[in-house]
Amino acid sequence: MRRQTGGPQQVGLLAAAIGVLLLVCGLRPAAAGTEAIYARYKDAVLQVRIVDRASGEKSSIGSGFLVGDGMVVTNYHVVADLISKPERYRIDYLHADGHRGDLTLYDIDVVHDLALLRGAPSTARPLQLAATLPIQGERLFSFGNPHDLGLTIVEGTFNGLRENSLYEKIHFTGSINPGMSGGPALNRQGEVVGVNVSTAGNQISFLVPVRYVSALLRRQNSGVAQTGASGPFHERMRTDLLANQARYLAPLLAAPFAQEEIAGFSLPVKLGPFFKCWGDSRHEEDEFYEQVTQSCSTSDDIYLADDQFTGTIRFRHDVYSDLRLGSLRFYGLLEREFNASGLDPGGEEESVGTFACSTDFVTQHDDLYKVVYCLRGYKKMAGLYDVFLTVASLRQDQRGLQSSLILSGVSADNARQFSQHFLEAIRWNPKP
Amino acid sequence: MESETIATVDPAPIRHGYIEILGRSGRVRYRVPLDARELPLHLGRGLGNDVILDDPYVCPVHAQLRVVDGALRVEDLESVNGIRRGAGQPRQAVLLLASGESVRIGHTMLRYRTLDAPVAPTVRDHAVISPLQRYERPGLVAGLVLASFALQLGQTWYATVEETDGIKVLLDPLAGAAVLALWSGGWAFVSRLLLQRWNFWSHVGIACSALLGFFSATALLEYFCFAFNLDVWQAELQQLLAVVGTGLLLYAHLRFTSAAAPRRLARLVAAFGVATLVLLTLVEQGEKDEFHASPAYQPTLKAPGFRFVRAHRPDEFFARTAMLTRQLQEENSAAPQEDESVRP
Repeated sequence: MRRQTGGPQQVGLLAAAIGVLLLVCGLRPAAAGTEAIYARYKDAVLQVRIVDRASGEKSSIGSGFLVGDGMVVTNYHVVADLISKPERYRIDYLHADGHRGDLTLYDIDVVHDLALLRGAPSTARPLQLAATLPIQGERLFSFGNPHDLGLTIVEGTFNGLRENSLYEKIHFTGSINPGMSGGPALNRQGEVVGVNVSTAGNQISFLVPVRYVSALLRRQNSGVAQTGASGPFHERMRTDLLANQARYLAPLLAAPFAQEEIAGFSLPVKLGPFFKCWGDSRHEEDEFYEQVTQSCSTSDDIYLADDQFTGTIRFRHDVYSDLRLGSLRFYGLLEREFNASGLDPGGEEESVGTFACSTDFVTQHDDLYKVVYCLRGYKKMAGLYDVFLTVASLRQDQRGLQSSLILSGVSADNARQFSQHFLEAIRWNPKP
Repeated sequence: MESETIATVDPAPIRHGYIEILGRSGRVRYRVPLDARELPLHLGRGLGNDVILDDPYVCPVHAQLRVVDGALRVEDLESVNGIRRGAGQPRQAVLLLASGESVRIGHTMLRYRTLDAPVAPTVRDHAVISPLQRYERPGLVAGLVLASFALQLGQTWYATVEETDGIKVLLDPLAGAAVLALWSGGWAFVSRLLLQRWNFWSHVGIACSALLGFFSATALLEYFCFAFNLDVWQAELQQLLAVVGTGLLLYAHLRFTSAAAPRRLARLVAAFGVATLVLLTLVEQGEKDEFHASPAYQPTLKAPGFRFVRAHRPDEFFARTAMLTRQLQEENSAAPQEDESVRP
């Protein structure tokens, strides 16, 4: 007679297999919930405070996170006041458990709005930086201190990199609020994928991609960073801004500007994918003149101070057609409009000088123009300039063009080249 | 035989001189002749006196006047406040006045003048003299007023680039006319005070001339700056024009207001003009150091036919703008130079 080996033994094997399977599943990291993410990584996030030395109280706050070796990452705009007025402010941190301590500014990346501080508590475990971007739709968790309400976690979604932007940013669908700037955005594995930087309201927020944090840390490790007084930080800003403007202007200057037809003129309009343009026109019955307007600008900028943004290109074209003004009044209208370009360069006395201007008649393609070219320097960053260019056509056929251009934070050579490209792309080109 | 009575004519009355009743400013209000046959004269507040003074500090019968050896004898008739040589002087019972001397009766000063008393030299009438005398011609002034109104109407029309009510078009010229009238009225008031003549329409004519002159000069200057690409100097030239124009305006008004010599007026106005220019220059220097976020430029834009200077190619224009960079670098010469390594 043969012995049966199935039955209870098979069940046991099956149970064991199931048990092993369950054990293995249990050992794999489970999809961490918000509570777990918060509990696991909150100790690595700090409130960064800019403290007024005279009163001893914070004048502004942001957030930051530990990245090891006592280093804290935050936004440049959180510490900008310290750089401009080091004698007036100092930095310290407040931990969620109530501990406080001093921090010192170590390095900055003004183009990507990052800053590196030193002096973090060594007891807390630093965060790891992600090596790759998340996938579209992946859940992210942003940490920060909104409105000084204490450490907060906000859930959101990764929606890819912001399209057609001059400065790369992650589009994060979550509510980042003031005070959370400089805080980390983590994936489920607790890795930093971005740094909170700005919000457009309505759960539209932006993060600085983590690769720029990595680059800043690599630079720090290579010994490039400066320490001490704020003077060297302006030199760092200067070199970074000069490099940045060279980067985005070089491809634009490599070829003549593309043109579009607007009311009989060929004009430079959308110069690159990172320009956004809007149009408007004035044309109603019984009007004395027609006006067609097109304005374009780069969709992003670099924060230097509350009163100063840089790294932008803005321009507008206004084409006027006389209907029943007559030559005398039409030129009176053009002259008044010429004196009010519609573009405001902004700026404060602490940051920039006064514009110096040159005016002359320019002729090209058998057309005559009156051109005003103005330049002003950055007081603390020599070699950087803001440009204001305005061009008015001088025609006999009751048609007038006024174009204005503002470049901010460019070198003198690039200012001249870009302005010349811009002017040379303007042409009277009526359809037959 | 009846003798005929031949009427005899008394010889001409002997006039010793005059009593001058003076006002508070020392000007003569009226004169009383001192004829020998009328003397002595009684003076007081009462209506029965020969010389009536409407002064509450004068008694109804206050003093008696005689001429003694060419001097005026003033005798106090036991009045309340007496007679004195001047305010604060002790009262006298009798005063003898030589020609040119005064006596205070109550609060009224009286001066004795003999017939041979010297008078001030004749003043030449400078207030109205050609070519400014033309402003006394009604036709010219009327023409200037009409031209000024038409100018302001034209300026409103020039600036109008959309449909508007006829009334709104007239508002600015009417306001301008009101301002002109007020301005001229002020000068006319001063003329009345100093020359006892209003000269209102002359002042209106001068103000209208100034308005037309300012407009013409400014327009010419704008076209000149456009033609020769002198926009950078336009503000300074306009300022100079304004100071010179204002000086001429003030001079013309003063000629119809004051009897002072023309040269004196010219020197006064010139000094005022120089002081104004110096002040404006100092203010401008101060403003140059002020920060302006927007570029300060004032380009003129006219029809291309008014251009006289050569137009440049774009590369020529931008090559010349290198001087702006040098200028800014000199202003910021303490800062480090541009980083060569980051040029494109």
